[in-house]
Amino acid sequence: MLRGLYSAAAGMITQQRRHDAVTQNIANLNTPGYKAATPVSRAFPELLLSALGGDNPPKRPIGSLHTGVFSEEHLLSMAPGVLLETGRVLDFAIVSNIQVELPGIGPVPFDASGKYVAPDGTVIVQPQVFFTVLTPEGEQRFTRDGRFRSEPDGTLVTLDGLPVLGVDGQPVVVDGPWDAVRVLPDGRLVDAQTGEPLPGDPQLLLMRVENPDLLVREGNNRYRHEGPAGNLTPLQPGDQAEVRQGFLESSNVDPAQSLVELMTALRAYEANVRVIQSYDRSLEKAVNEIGRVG
Amino acid sequence: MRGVLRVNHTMIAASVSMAALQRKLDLIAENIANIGTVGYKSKDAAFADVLSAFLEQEPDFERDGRRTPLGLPLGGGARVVGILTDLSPGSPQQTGVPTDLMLEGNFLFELQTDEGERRFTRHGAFQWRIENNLGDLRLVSANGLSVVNTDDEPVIVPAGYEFRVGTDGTMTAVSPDGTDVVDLGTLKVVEAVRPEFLRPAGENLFAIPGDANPDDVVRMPGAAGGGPAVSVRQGFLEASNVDLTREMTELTAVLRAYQLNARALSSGDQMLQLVANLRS
Repeated sequence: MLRGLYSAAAGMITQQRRHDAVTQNIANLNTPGYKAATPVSRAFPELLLSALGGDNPPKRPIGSLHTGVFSEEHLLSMAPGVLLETGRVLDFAIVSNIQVELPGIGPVPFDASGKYVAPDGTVIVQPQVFFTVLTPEGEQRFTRDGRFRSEPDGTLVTLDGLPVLGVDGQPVVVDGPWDAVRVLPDGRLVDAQTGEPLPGDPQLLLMRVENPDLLVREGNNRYRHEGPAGNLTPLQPGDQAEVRQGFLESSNVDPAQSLVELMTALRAYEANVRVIQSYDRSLEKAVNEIGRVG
Repeated sequence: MRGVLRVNHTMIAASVSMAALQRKLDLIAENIANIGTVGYKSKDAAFADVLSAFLEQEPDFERDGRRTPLGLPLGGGARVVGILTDLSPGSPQQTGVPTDLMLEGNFLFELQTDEGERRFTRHGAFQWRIENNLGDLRLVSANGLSVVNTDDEPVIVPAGYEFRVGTDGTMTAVSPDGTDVVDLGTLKVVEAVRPEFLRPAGENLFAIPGDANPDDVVRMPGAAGGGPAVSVRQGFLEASNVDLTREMTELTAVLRAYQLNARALSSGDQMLQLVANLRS
């Protein structure tokens, strides 16, 4: 039947998904460490149409056709959020701008959202740095939301209670008040007054994720890593990244841009609705008028 | 995309986050309402994103140019994960009342209930309660709990005597003619090691939660070597630490965020309306 009818329906679903993604961004305008999702759509795989039943040649190709579109993935926009000074001892923000040298390009000039498109079209993503937390199942999760709190025994945990890991792979535990602890830019914990390292020299585990596209959003401001283990390396001295105590990284959602995207998605949805209505009128004519007798 | 209801995620996400913003708005209102409350600590809501569904994608979805692992997370808005209390000290407010005490630093007054349980407060506006028919006075908190000294004894001032507190917390009662000085011990003050674990017990009081070791939450000043020294100021009260400018800024930001979510909601509604009128 009319192929475009289904293309338009697929278009409606895709625009709905885009709208959902933008709404989720707007919903998280005030979520620290939130990274906006950029929805990406893709055309359905191409079909090659052939004409059948002619005399000469009996079968000939007409051309290719895409029969629709689908919402394929939500890319994370890794643009840094604005740093807010809170003064709270257990608020941390990560500031990172990791430089990468590639043969033939030299230092890669990443754009604001943390990617670089090479002249041949390949996309290079800037490595990003995350706090590492431990789930009750013993798996690592990554977050940019540095609002932590302390358990009664001094374990540093996220607001929903997952322990924050240190470089030794164990939860960070501090004996005594956190007010007396200062966190250095490299994540090491020292006594706020003397500047001496705390017993055991605890240090926050800052994970450098080589390709942050392999992080899957899991809710609660956390990401799960799905990729080769080599994609994750603890931050090394000399990497252009640091922790700031008493600061929070705000959400990187741009409300103005989000609203524009919202309107675009809505209108594109509406356009697809019109296409369906137009097909419907064609069908109506075919059904009710062409075949009419008398 | 099997197994997932075709629900309108836009409307879910927008309404869930509007509810969360409403809670934040409530906290802002509470902070502003308590701007004049002695010892009040401002509160803030902390948000986190919510996922409502994760669409599984078949391996066929793995195509050239795809940058992320398979699967499409669908958002469900934002929720409040925790209420953070800002425990920074408020500014001193002079009252000249001898029973008004203020602590500098991360300390709390210890109080005792009639059952002998420990309670803590920053609210230093204490009062007198008549102890016996001699007219002796007992120092109590605004809600009637006894203030204690380091020997866990109540503070009782003989009738007519003047009550004095030194900056180190030593309490004395001086007779009207200044000749007789009664030693009342040292005011019992604890250092809040992990103040976020103090359980609010209403009326500006805090208690130690039942499942926590008291030494993990509070400790005597100077215990475990060092730590800041106690400084008590008589005749002063600690004002609330609410910063009105900050609250008003937050209020504006929250209102706008609410408005944006409402826009997204009505935009989602418009989509549904378009579908409803598809065949008109």
